[in-house]
Amino acid sequence: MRKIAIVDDEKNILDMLSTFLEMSYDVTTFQNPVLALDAIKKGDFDLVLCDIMMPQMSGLDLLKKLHEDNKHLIIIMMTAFDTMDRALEAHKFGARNYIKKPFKSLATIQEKIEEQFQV
Amino acid sequence: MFKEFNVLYVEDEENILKFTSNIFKSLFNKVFSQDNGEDGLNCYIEYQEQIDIIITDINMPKKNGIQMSKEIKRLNPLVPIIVTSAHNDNDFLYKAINIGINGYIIKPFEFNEVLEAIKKALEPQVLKNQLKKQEEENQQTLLKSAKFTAIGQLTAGLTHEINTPLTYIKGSVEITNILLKSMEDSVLKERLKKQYTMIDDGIDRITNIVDSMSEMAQNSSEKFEDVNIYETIIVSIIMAYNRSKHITQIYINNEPFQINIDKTKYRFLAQVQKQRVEQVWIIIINNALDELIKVEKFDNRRLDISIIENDDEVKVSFKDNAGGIKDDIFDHLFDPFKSTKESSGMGIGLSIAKKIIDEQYGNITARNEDNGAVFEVIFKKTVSRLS
Repeated sequence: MRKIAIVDDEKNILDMLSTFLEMSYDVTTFQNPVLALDAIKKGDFDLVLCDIMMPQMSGLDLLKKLHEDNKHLIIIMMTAFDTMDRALEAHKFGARNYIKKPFKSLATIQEKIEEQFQV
Repeated sequence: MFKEFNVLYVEDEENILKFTSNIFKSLFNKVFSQDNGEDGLNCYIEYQEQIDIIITDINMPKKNGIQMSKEIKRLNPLVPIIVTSAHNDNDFLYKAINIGINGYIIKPFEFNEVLEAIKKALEPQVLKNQLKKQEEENQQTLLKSAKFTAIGQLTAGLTHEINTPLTYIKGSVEITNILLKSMEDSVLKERLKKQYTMIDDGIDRITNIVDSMSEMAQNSSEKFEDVNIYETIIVSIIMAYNRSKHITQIYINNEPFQINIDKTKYRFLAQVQKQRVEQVWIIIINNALDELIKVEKFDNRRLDISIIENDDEVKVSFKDNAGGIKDDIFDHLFDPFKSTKESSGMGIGLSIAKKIIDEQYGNITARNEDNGAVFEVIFKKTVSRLS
């Protein structure tokens, strides 16, 4: 089973996403990006879903550090409308794709994840 | 002609007073007429606020025109006064000049001369009015823009706050539906399904409203400059490359895109906001990738980007071969309020793209061609200079 990490400072979003994605993947959630950085570096995750606006560390910083550490790690950014610029900028730092919040549907998240696993 | 002004007209000869007053009535907003200097002065004192110009005869009973003008000028040195005089009033004329009369008309009147004299006398007033109007307008604009900025900031904050709970409510409702489907058929299940549909529909509508509200609140302060559109396209393809390389080969003006491509090989200049334009390209490219991935096999997919220019436009088009835009969403493609739920990838961010392109004074259109979608963006070209 593929290992997925989800990083978001909002617990309800983590709970909701993990409830859904646990049907298909081995999911670990992180509410704190600083702790996430350490754990993801040490772990053997296949893919990271990462929020952009987080208080302790921005999602872009986390993305940069994770990408520097492991170029093969697939990282998909999650973003609200008003941080769309940053989501687009995230491509520059190695993000593979972005998902807009609120999600169009959970099914599309899975589609985007599967797209990455297929290639 | 002088419809924003009121005139005080003083003339003792009844026929001239009647005749000329009638003419003035068609020229001015309002005419106050008096037949001697004393009444003229009193009339001015009473209607000072309304009277913009005085036209007066000189030789009159009770108080002559010069005396009246002198007293009026003492009350308000700025009000323009024109005297009308016959040739034999030369003495009075000199006096008139001394007390600061703004013009004179020789009797009998030559209509054009009258107009000319009034026009000249009112000139400072007209300018002042224009200036005042302009100032008021400026103030209104300022006030409006301050209000809009405040509303914009409020909206941006509000939508962001709504977005987070909306995200998990929306997701949870979807999960509820998945759980619901696994329930055994029952009356309860049917009732829950009905409720689910309603909640889902409501959330959809809220999402659309929040989306378009935050779109509108977004305002870029990036400056407009001469930008090489070709370069923005290459930068955007590079940004999307992590994803695109697994999905399709991108061609630009028929050359296959390679990561080490020369960004400045071609020059197509337009006055735009660089980063905003790059955002649009990424949205369009990502939408195309969303559709292309549904086509089987890498080799069967193709995304062609072309950039051309004519005398006054730069035209960029993105053409994929993923089957084209479906009829039912075609008409609402750029519409922020329309849900694009049915249409999977197509349509994400297209209303933002349109808003941005509008802001660049450009134009974006979509059409289907050869079993694919074509998105075309046109910018006004920067007038080329010697380089």
